[in-house]
Order: sequence, then C-alpha cells, then structure tokens
Amino acid sequence: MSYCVHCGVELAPSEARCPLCQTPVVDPAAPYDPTLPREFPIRSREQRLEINPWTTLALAAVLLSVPALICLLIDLLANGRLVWSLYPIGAFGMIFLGILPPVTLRKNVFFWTVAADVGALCLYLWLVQSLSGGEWFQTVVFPVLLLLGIMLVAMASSIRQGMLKGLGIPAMGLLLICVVTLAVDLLITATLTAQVRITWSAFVMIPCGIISAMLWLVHRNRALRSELKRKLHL
Amino acid sequence: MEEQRGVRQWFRLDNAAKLYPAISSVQWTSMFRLSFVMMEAVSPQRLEEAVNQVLPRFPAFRVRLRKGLFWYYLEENSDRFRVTEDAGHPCAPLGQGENSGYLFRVKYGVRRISLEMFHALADGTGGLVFLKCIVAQYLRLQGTPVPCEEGVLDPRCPPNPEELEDAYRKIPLDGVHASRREEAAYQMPGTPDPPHTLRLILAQMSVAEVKARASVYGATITEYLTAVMVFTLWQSQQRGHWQRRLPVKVSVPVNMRKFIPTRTVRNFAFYLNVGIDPKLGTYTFEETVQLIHHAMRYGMNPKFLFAGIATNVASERNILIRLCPLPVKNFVLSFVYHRVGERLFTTTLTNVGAVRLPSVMAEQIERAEMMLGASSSYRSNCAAISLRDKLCLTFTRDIAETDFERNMLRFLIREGIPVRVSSNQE
Ligand SMILES: [Zn+2]
Repeated sequence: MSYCVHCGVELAPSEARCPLCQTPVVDPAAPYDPTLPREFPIRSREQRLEINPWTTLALAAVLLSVPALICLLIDLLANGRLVWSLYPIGAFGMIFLGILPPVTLRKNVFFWTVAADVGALCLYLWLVQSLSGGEWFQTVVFPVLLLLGIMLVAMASSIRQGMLKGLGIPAMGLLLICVVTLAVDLLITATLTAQVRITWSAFVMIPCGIISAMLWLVHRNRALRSELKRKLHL
Repeated sequence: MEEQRGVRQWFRLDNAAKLYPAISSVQWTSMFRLSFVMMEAVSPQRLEEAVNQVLPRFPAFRVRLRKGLFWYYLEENSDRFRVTEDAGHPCAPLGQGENSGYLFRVKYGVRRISLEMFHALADGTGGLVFLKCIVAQYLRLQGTPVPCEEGVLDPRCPPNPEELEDAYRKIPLDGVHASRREEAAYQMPGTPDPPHTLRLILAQMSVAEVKARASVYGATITEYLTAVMVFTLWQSQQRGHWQRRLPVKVSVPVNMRKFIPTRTVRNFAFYLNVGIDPKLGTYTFEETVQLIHHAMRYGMNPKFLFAGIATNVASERNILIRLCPLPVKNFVLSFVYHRVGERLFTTTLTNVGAVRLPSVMAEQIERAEMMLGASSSYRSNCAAISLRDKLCLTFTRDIAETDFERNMLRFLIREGIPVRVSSNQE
C-alpha cells in the first residue's frame, strides 16, 4: 500500500495521484498499475460531453447571423446594393470572434481572449476604414491597439506568475495608461503635423507617472512601507 | 395515505418532501446514495429480482411523481423496476421518464450495490431500511437465509401503514410561535463544475480510533468530526483576504425519530446548523470542539427542533399558500431555497451512524457508504456511515478544488487517525 508523501493518507491502489493534492504516487516497491480496477466508476462519455463548447458556438453563430442576414436583406431591398449593412455585419463577426476563445479554451484563456479581441477589433476597424476611406487605421489605431494588447497580456501573466503583486499592480497599471496615452498622442501629432512632439498627453502622463513612481517606491522599500504604515495607520 | 377502490393508490408528499420537487431542475436534483460493498461479485439478475420482490413491501417508494393543481403527489407505479450498471458519476438528476418514472435507482458495480434516492421519497434512515431489505432479499436469492431482524423488514408481510405516515404531522405544535432566524454563513470558494458532475473522495478510517480521539475531547464522533470540519474551514477562511468574516456553520441533519417514535420510512429529519463566529476572535481546536459539543447538545432538544419544524408545517398548512397554484409555489420555493436556504450553512455533515445488520448478512458485506448528491450552490459536502469498525466519510463536490477535504483529512492524520482514500478522479 502507498501513502501520499504530501498528505500522509493511505491511497487506494487504483489512484495514480493523491485525490487530495494531486501529488503522483511515488512508491518504487508498488508502482501505480493502471490495469487495476477502479474503486468508483469515472465520468461517463455523456457526462464528459455535458457542456459542448461547439453547441454554444453554433447557437451564437445562429443568433448573430439572423440579425446580420436581416440587415443585408433590408439594405439590398432598399438600396439595390450594399450601402451600410457591412458595418453591422462586421460588428456581429467581431462579437463572434471575441467570444470564440473564452467559450472553447480551458487554458491560457486570458491571453487568447485579449489576442482575439484585439484581432477582431482591428479587422473591424480596418473594414470601416476601407469602406469609408482615410488612413487613420494603420497610422494610429492599429499600433495603439497592438501595444495595449501586448501590455495587458504581459501584465496579466506577470501578476499570475507572482512577479507583480501588492502596490506594484496599480503602479504598473498607471504606467500602462501613461505609455498608451503617449503612443496615441505621438501618433496623432505625427500624422497631423508630421512632427514627433508631445502635446496634450503630458497632462495625463505627469500625474499618472508621479503617482505610479510613488507607489512603486513604497512597494519596493520595506522600511518606507513600514514607516508609512506606522504614521498613517488608522 | 389516501385510497380509493379500483383506482391507483396515491400519497401526499410529506412536509420535508414538498420542498424537493419544487427546487429540482434538469440540471440539479436533491439526491443521496447509500451503498453496500459486498464480499463477492454482484449478480445483476438476482439483484433486479430482489428489488422487485421487496418493492410491494414499500408502497411509499413504488411511486412516480405527478403534478396536481396545488401540490405534487406520488402515484402508485406498478411497472417492473430495472437495475442499472454503476457507470459515470453518481447521483445524476433523475431524467424525465427515466426508469419508468421511479424516483430511485438501484445500481450494481462489480461488488457494490447502490441505492440512489430522490430526497422527496425518504431521508437517509428510510433509504437505509430499503437498501437493507433489498440486500437481505438478494442474499436470500443467493442462498443465505437472512432472518428478519435488526431492522430488516419481512417482504412477505403486508406494508404497515405506520411506515407510510407523514411523521411531521405527529409533532405537537400547540403554542409554538418561534421562528429561527439565522445569519448567512461563509461559503467555500471554488471553480464550479458543469452539471451532472459529481467528484467524490472516499475516506475510510477506524471507528475505534476516531471514537478514542473524540473521547479525549469529551465529544461523540459526530461532534468531533463536525468540530474538525468547522475548525479547518475557519482556518482556510482566515487565510483568504477578501472573505467577509461570516460564521462558519455546518448543517447536521437530526433524525427526528429519536424524539417522536415512528416507523416511517419516509422523511423525518431536521437540520441543526452549528459552527463558530470569526467575529468573536480566534479559536483553538479544543475551544471549537467544546463549542460544537455544547451547541449540539443544546440544539438536540425537542423544543428547539420542533420550533424549526413548526414554521415549515405552519406554512404548509397556511390556506393562502395551499391555494397558490403549483407553478407559483415552485417559483417562490426555489427562489427562497437557492438564495436563502442554501446560504445558511457552509457545508453539510450527514452521519447515518452505525449500520445494524443480522450477523449472517454482515459477514457478506465489506463496508457501507453514504454520499450526498451535488449541492446546488457549488461546494463540498460530507456524509458518514459505519459498519463494524469501518467508518466511511464520503466527500462529494461540484467544484474542482479539494481544499476542504485536504485540510480536514490532513487534520485527522495529524490527530493520529490513519486515513485511506480513494476517488473517482480520472
Ligand atoms: Zn496528497
């Protein structure tokens, strides 16, 4: 008989891992034998298929394509050609792409959701630009969205891996706001005046930057943190 | 029991049972399961034969659920009962038209005979009487003469009307006006599982060892296990940062047959919520055991329990509630139960206690198991039963995490009680 090295419980021979803490059975004298009968039946096929993500997706596809088709029909009947219906149809497509990862994925949901949302939004805005004209998409919107997506993913993964915690999280959040504002400002100014110059974003960046730096200092400095706690305790 | 000649027999649901059909859905039904693990392999044909021979003795279970205008009711079901193979996760909600409308399942495993029951039919005590009779009859068909003693009923006798009574109606309610108002309890965190999933962990230990440890604190086994549960839950609550300091409470079903003698095999249980309040400071384990011990001793008095039941019975007898059409009742009951009722306790500990069996029968059974079906509010529950020196604690949960089980069992091990676990994990 084997015991969990972590919990100290005796494990039934049919257990490959400790059911309490998932530690694998380590017993050179009696290694786990997968052919042994289980003490309890495991999940049946029907139970495993209980929530089928593809059913949800099919349902979403139907629910979104009905209004899309209606838009298309009305537009065609009223104008004889496509005038405005591509805007709502593109929006429905964007919604569908956005819900794809959270419904289907079990791992890395946040990363793929952000990636899909940024991707879907980019596609939609590119569609809007190509329908209505202009150059704003590739000059401003696309770089900003890409930057925002990358930074959100980086921040979320460093929070999850424990690299970012406590006051470091709001400090980094404020820094993210600074960077995005700066990017928007620089890109817009560069497009309009063909000069690389900081204009209005300074009003956002200065207070955010100061607060972020203060939070970061307090976060990093143990002595300062305890001093502040002592002086400011309620 | 009401009866008319030439017409199918029918029953009113008892007071506790009225709740269960109303709060059930396709996704969730209040179920529990009792099993005997036999020494030898089970023969499905003999088992099915045994169930069908025993069923006429239990008219209260030989029924299907029907809708009236004002209440659900149970109608006699004379179809042949079919046993099923024990596959998949246990205690799945009863499907529409499944099993010819019977409200219980009898499942056979390699060596395990299980009875899964809808709570509207019976409580654990009633279910155990039924399972004992089924297994006794099964053993008789296998050639072991099992005497009708130790609570094994004789399937050849006509049913005793006392076994079918709604015992809640026997409770003296004159002058009871109390209502038990309770604070919402701490709820364990967890990632919900999809419906029809029930993960279980069976922990086996020795009755003598648990009893010895419990007596060190001057407590019974139930009090001791409840205290371990409350204490470890409180410890993990303290580790959480954003949890409100709500009381940690365990709901312990009380068998009311102790207070009002009845032979009923239907529901006759009530609940006592005991626990500790973190707002009053920190606790040691000794303090927790003492608090639980006294709370249970105090709570187990007929006056206190009857007052709780009185509220339920009074609302059942209220003419305005009675005149409410069934769909309205269902909506209100299920809303109140899921929003309020399930929030009053953190988890459940059902202790069916020691199973008494005729000795020839006990020799053929390795152990008894009891488990609760999924709870509607995503948590882990626990049920205990013992046969001879084997105490089986079955934890059933519809969340992914095992923190509750792990903390409780590790605590028991540190207390010096060896624990053996098995599970239905993949
Ligand atoms: Zn372990």
